[in-house]
Amino acid sequence: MTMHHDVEARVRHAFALEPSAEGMRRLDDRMARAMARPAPTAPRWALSRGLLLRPVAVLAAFVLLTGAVAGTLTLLERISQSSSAGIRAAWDRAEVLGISREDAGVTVTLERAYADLNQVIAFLEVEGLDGSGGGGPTAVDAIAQLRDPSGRLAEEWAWGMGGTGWAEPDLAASIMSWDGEVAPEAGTWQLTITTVGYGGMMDGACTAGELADGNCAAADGERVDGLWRFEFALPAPAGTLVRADASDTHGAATITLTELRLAPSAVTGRTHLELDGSPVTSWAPTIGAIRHNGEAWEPEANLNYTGRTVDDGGNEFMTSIGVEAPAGTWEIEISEIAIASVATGLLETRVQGPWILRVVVP
Amino acid sequence: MGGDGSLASTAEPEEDELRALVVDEDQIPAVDVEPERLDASTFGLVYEEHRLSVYRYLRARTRSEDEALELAAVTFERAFSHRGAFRRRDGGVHAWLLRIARNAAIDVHRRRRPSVDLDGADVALGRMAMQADRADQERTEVLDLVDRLPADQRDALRLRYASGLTAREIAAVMGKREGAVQKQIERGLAALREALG
Repeated sequence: MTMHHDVEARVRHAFALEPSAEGMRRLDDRMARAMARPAPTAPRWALSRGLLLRPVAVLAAFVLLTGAVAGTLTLLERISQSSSAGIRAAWDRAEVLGISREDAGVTVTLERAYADLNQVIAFLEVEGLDGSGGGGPTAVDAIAQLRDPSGRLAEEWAWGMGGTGWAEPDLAASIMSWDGEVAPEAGTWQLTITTVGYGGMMDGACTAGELADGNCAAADGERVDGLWRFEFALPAPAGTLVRADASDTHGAATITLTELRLAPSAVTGRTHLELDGSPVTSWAPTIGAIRHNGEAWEPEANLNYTGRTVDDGGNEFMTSIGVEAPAGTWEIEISEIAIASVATGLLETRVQGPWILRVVVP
Repeated sequence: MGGDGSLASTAEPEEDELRALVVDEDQIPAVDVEPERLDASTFGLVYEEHRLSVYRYLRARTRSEDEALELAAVTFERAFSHRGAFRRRDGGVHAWLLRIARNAAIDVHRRRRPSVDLDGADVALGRMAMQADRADQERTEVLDLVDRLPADQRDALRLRYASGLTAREIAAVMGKREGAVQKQIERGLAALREALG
């Protein structure tokens, strides 16, 4: 008890708000369902709040590129070549920079950087970190601020961040990406890193907000605070932005594709749903196929993409592979939609399609 | 379908099974409520132990019960998904959950309108509805005053009095030193005392 005990009692009373029994029952049910799922994955519409961190790529093939097979490849090259087609394209097209900055006994080198209309990617190597990162897919976890040529912070245009990497005993390498509507503008970018360490980012435990606030600890190893600042010039981001109005109706559900961004590292598309003419804001589509000029556009084994809900209730998908020559007819086939309760986030219904959205890119 | 694009399609558990996961007290084993690490078998108990505290903190930050419940659900879903990342040294499970809750709330506000502090405005909207009940006028007055405090004082008070965290735990949540948190609480209480008369 302090000298403010009378005020404390009033504040404590003011905060002692009880949820309704029905509200608490909904929360209990939702958590019970979450805990009952075999794979502990939160619903997409829950995870899509905030600036998300997502793994950029699967490193399953990395093992094949280690040892003798790797030859003279650097660690970053090996990671990049083990990553998705989009990352490989970005690596090949990136500006070679090789800028090193040293602080607090840690050297961070920005080896390459890349930007297209869908994402900005930094390829980094880190030397001098102590801790337990050696020998495995443990990314270097960095708290970083990215500023575009017009002075905008990534928080103003990016909806998510991605990361992947690998650590060896004396050297770690990391690929960081910022996903969103990149301004089509050449100029000087600024990347400022204030903390590096192992863990945290790769397992998705931290949102960017948590990292930025310094409130999400790395799972293993120590973090090192310092200042590593990079300025680098990039050409105008590649890619084609298409404003579209392609709709398809199946039963009571009409889906409209309003935007496509076709770039070398990824393709993103924005869709909206109406049921009987009324917009739906809590839903998610399943992309069944993407076709370009009548051909299945799936050079890799599976169509791999992430999805998120956008502010106006639309949904945006982003593939892990991009396109160099986007001209022609694109078809986005949505095979199923899931509609959730706005109030609870719980799945209410699934509706089978398909809906086929067709856009011609000159 | 590969990647994150596919939605979970597992069969929904029966209602009775769902209940058993969270409220069947006969099945609750002795549990260390401050475990070194979290696993699936103990998470339900951690949820039971801390759900009200997390809700009250989020309710103090949001405009409606529904929004607070939604954020509470997001908090526990994130915590469950990433329970493997929990370490007791991070300030204990209560502080860990509140840290996730705080960041979930920050992310939502940031996403609504970056660079504008909507925290106070959002909460004030909720207060207007609450004020309709005369019995809540005293509560509304206190909460309105709390909303006018500087952000750090405001949040420290919510964590202390809505969720019952210690200054040390609040320091872990806010990423500040314990002494600094104590000062924020003292200053906040002093300001409230002066305003309340």
